[in-house]
Amino acid sequence: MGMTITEKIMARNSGRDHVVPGELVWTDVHTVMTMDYLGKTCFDKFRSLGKTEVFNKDRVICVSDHLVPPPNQKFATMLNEWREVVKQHDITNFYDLGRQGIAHQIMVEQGHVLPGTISIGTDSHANTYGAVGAVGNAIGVTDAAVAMATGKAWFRIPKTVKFHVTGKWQPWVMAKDLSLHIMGMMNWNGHLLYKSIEFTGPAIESLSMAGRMTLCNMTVDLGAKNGIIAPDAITQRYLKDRAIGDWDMIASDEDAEYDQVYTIDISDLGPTVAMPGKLDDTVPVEKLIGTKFNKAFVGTCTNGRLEDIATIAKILRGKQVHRDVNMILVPASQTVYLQALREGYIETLIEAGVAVDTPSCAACAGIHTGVAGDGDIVLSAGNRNMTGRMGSKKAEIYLTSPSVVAASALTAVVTDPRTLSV
Amino acid sequence: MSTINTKIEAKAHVYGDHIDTDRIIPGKYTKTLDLSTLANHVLEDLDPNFNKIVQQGDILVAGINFGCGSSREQAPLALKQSGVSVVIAEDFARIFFRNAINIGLPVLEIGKHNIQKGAELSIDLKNGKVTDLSANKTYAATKLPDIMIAILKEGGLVNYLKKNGTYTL
Repeated sequence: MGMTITEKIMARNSGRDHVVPGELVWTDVHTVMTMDYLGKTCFDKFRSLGKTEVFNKDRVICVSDHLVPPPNQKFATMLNEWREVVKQHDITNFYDLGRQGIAHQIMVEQGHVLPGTISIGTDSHANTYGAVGAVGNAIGVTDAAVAMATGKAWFRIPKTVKFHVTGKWQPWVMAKDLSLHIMGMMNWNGHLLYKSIEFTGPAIESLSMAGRMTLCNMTVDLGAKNGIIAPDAITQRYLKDRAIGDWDMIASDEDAEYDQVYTIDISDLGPTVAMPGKLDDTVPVEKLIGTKFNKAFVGTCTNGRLEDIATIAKILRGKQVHRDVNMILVPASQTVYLQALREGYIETLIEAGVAVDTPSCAACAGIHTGVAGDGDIVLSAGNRNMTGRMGSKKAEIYLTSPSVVAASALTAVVTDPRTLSV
Repeated sequence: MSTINTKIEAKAHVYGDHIDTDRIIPGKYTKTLDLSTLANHVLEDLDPNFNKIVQQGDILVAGINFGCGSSREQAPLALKQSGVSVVIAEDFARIFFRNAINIGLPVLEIGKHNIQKGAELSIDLKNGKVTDLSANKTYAATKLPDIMIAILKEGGLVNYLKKNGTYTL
């Protein structure tokens, strides 16, 4: 019996020829990521194991993303403690304020995740790493501390569910719409809990790395253990000057066994929106046309990449954000920010009345940079819309793609980007 | 951190589906690992009285997808510190599940159930059996692998590794 790509990666990294779902394995991890918010706790736990040296200084990746730049003294002090502990452990790859980005963006864009390997991180959206054909997995501080000490982690081999995606993407429809569509289709009823999601098919093969990252990123919100796309020519091109280490074109065996296979034709898929409070309560944008909102947010590990910024710049070029809307863009990393600046997107957006802020998790973590207050109605290109997620419990969050956010920012009501003349 | 028993008999506190990590311990308290702070605020948005009524050893019972949301380990830590001895749910969000094992809080999946608030439960962790003594009904839980029982017995993965140096699966 053949194996799926996730099973093969789990087998390969635990020194096994074959694994089957349900088995427990103790695997090698390629990289362990931790960040400012939980990193100090990770290192404290690591030391409680009686260790002082991490398993590999190049492969423990430290990122400042949740708390930077510090909006208050408390965070500034936390960051100082964090910097101290990173320094103390002589960590090679420390992406601190100035070189920062959202950890998941950093992990992929700086080449710290490789096809065929396993990388873990102390933040739920570590599933993003599946975009390059790695198993990316979110873990807690104990797992991270143990991995920092041993270079290993325990896993239960998940069953794999395949989403085979065919058809041609409509204009302005983005990977985010497919994520939200699947969220609504699966109705968050636990079908995908613990499982691996593998995306295949022509509509996936035509996706850029940015789109693939969005798609894999949100598999955690479906309850899945990981989301993965087998590496191909696009992956190869993307990793050419980034990958730190060797890798190969790993793929599922033809006779691999899947728990379920769903086929989706995206030819008819339009822009999609998740209603406030529940990720799986999704509707086509047409159903919400005219719905008022007052805050527009583009950023996060889901939609803060160059392609997303290019999309909103294209929509807003030469136009003005409606005066009843505050729109914020937070690029996913300094690298993305610089590229957007060089391409002229930042200038276009500032001219259109968009506030651009320093790369961080920003308001998605409800901590700083555009948090929501009482009565706010937010149209967000982020990943979570539960009550209170972006700040006030009396705010409402609609989740959608960057193109819907930008199109709607022009009118202060939900607008279908396909109806714009751009 | 204390070790656990594999046989537990106690009262059930029953809540619903999709209880996320923010409702287990609100994000504003998670910048601490101070256990008593965590325990004082556990489940407060879901049930402001929980912290007052929970007794050492009590059992938390929930529906589907318990612990969804963030990867914060404070969620199982807060429950453990408040006195909860085991969490029973139809199923768990995977990050919560592994965090719970790692910090030494037993978790058992029993699928659909009809356990009522205040029910007396008897739990056999090793054999994966949950008996509702009040309703005279037994549920078969997904059995935890021996290694997980061993980790739980030591009070979590850190203690287990300290004692054993390594582990094999």
